[in-house]
Amino acid sequence: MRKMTTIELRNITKQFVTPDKAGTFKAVDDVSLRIEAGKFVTLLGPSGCGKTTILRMIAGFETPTAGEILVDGKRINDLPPDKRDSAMVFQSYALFPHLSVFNNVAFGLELKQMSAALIAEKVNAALQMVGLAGLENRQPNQLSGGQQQRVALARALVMEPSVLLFDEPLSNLDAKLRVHMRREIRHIQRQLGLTSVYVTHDQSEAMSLSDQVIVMNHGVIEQIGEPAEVYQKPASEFVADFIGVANFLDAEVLATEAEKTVVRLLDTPFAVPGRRDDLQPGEQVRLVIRPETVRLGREGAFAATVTYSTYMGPSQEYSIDLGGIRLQVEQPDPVGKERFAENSQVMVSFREESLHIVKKH
Amino acid sequence: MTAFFRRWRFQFLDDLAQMKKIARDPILTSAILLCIVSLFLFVVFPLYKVLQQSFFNPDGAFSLDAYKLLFTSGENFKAFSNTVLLGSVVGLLATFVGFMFAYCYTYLAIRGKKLFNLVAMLPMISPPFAVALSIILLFGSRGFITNTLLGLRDANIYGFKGLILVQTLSFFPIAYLLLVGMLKSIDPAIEDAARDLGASRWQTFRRVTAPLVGPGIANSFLLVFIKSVADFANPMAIGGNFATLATQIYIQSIGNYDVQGGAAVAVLLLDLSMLLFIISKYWVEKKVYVTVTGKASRERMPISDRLVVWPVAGFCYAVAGIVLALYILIPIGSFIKLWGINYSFTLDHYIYAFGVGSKAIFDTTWLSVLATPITGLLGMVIAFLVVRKRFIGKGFINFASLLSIAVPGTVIGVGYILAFNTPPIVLTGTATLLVAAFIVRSLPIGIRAGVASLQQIDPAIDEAAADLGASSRQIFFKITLPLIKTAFFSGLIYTFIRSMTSISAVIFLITAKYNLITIAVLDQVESAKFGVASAFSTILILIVYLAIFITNQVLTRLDPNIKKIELT
Repeated sequence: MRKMTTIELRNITKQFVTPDKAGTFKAVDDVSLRIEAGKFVTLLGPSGCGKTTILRMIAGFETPTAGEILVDGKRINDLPPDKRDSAMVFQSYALFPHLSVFNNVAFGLELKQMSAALIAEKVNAALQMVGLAGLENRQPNQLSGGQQQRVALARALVMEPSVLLFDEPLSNLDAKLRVHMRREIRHIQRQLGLTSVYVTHDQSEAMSLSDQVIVMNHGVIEQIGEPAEVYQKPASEFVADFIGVANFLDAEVLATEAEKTVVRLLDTPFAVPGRRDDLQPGEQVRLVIRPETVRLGREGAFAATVTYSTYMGPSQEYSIDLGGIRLQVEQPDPVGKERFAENSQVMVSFREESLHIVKKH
Repeated sequence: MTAFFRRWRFQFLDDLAQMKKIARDPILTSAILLCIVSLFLFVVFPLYKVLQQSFFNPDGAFSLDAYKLLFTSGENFKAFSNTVLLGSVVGLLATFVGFMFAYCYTYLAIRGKKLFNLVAMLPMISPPFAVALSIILLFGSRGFITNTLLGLRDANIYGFKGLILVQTLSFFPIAYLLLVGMLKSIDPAIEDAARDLGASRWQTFRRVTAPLVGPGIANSFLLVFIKSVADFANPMAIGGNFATLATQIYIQSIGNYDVQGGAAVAVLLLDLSMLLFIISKYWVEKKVYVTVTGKASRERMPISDRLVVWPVAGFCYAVAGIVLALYILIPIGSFIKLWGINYSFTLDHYIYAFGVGSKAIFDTTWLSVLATPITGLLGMVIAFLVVRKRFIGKGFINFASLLSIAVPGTVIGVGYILAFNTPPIVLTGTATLLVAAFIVRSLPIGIRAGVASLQQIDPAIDEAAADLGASSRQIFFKITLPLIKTAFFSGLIYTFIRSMTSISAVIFLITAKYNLITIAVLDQVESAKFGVASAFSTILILIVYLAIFITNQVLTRLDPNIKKIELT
């Protein structure tokens, strides 16, 4: 059974009193966004950026100071959490310590006054789905972290919610399990076609899970886009820096044309593909250059000195000095390629299609 | 100023938005209203009445006569200075004894530490006169030590010295329980570090341990002071001519039929208690370095150095021995024909107690039974609301329940007379008023226990339940209550015991219709019938023990793994 639910936030602001009670601050500042039915959307940003506050407003634990939250077009601002058709997976799992695995998962269904037989059927199916069949009678404190996480997920899924909410659910798991669980979450979400909102500060989690990533900072949205878009075409220096590693180089716009933008970098013109109406000739800008797009070799456009070189397995990482500018460079799959020693000279070149322009502020 | 106003306005609007959500939940709304109304009616309103009464003369005109009398009457001024002197001396002595016990318990390698907890528990489950009664039996004019053994005539334990002795022995457990929690939560690694840096054991104690518990010691002094100042039973029993504010209120309003004068004294006592309470709450507690809930990283190596152990442990064992002896004396005294003159065995006192006092025994028990579940549930509901919900009026609930901790029972008693004697609400002489007094006296402790255990539970658990469709009522009964059931049942037992043994507030409220055991004991002590007083006290202790036993049995039935209630 697929429930197709859209969520819309209209000019949402949430103000809190500061911890020292001296004033107020805006955790979320006039945010509007629309989450399409069946999509997996991630709210990504550093701690304090407002992502969790948005999630908690959708769930009903916080009330917006201003603005409207709409689910399928209906305003739900004043609806308490228990009257909302969303289910949340909590960061701390929030399992009921006095109830068994079965009773934890059955909790919400019992409140709906379902028959015992139907509850048992649904709970077992949910536990099956998260791979916990057979552990029904355990108490939460008898489970590993990963198992507790699965109970929390089953407890949310069993409600057949129209919206699934995740509050950094994997942050308490070890690295391997985290990767495994995010595949499972993605798999189950696709299978059920549930509209999902996922909060995380881990960019790899956001990239691997989402249809759409919403990058936030200081209570406002910096960029909304598909994972590839957010990585390759970051809307701001903040987004470029927060997602992955980025080099920033000063450049000047020479000309803006229909298909490309010409910039001057290190006294050399580069034609960056793509139309940019927001830029003016003569404007000072920043070029975003990802480490893995920089080429090092015997031949190239610019001379540089290697200041640091280290072997990472999948790649060789360098730090190079390009006329006083420090650049991070990553050469993937170093086996069989030339490696440059520290203090050696090297030639550098950039691919025009890998350059991206962001505004200077 | 404008920033303050803006913040206040914002907070108000935010609360208002929150209220909209709460308003959709009729059960939550009515629970909040019920709490606010009952706290207003039974805590704030009577105190307001006391204040008001002290400002108006019997004709209803504004007058400061009551206060004039307060400062011109030598009697009242004497009572005030007596009270402060007594509070200070007992505060110091009880804190010292309590600290020795706490240090002994946490630091020393000795046997029989359980004894300390038993000794600390005894004053809590005993009738208020127990220690005073025993001291009279030992050191009174017909006392076993003074008269029978030493052959002294006219030994007089009544007055200041007797009161100091009795109050110190009754109240040092308060200091002990506070300080033992504090010492336990000091991470031994801190002291190890001091030793490692070259401090001797004494230097470590003086420069590290003592400063860490310094605020705790100050707080313990204040709490004992408050307790001493509010104490009514002991000054009545053994104070003799040494009047305190608490007894003065009673003598003035009941003995002299001058409720207005009593109210003026009550305001003085209320101010004194509130002042101490505010200092303790908002100044001393802010300075506490170690959290009482903190857990040390590892066990502390107990000290077995004889130079330390022998004097400290020796002192503690001696005090513990005296306390135990005093309590054992009560049932013994109840079987002795005529203390000090004829030590032969008799059951006469029980026959008399059950004959004359059966109604008091019955009334006390059923009124306490009535108050117990109401207090227990109300305490947990208030704790839940205060910790987990945001609503307009939460500040009031917090304030009113804190207020009732600091208010001495005698002040509540006078307040109830003033508030409920005349319309619109006439409750004087009813069981309702007695039960209300019982509830108000034990509610703050129940709330505190509930708040403490709720704060240890991740709020996300409540949110998860709400998220899954549970209403506030369902969350409370299905999640909160099961998780804090130990605090709940301790609250029940505490309320029952406290109600059974209470006197200071209810002595103002009893009528011919209802009598209470504690008041019967007081009557017997005042007429020097110590045998009957002991018999009543013993019966009271037995009823209390029976209640603890039954509760533990019920708990074991409910859940074999649950922690038994030990009142420490």
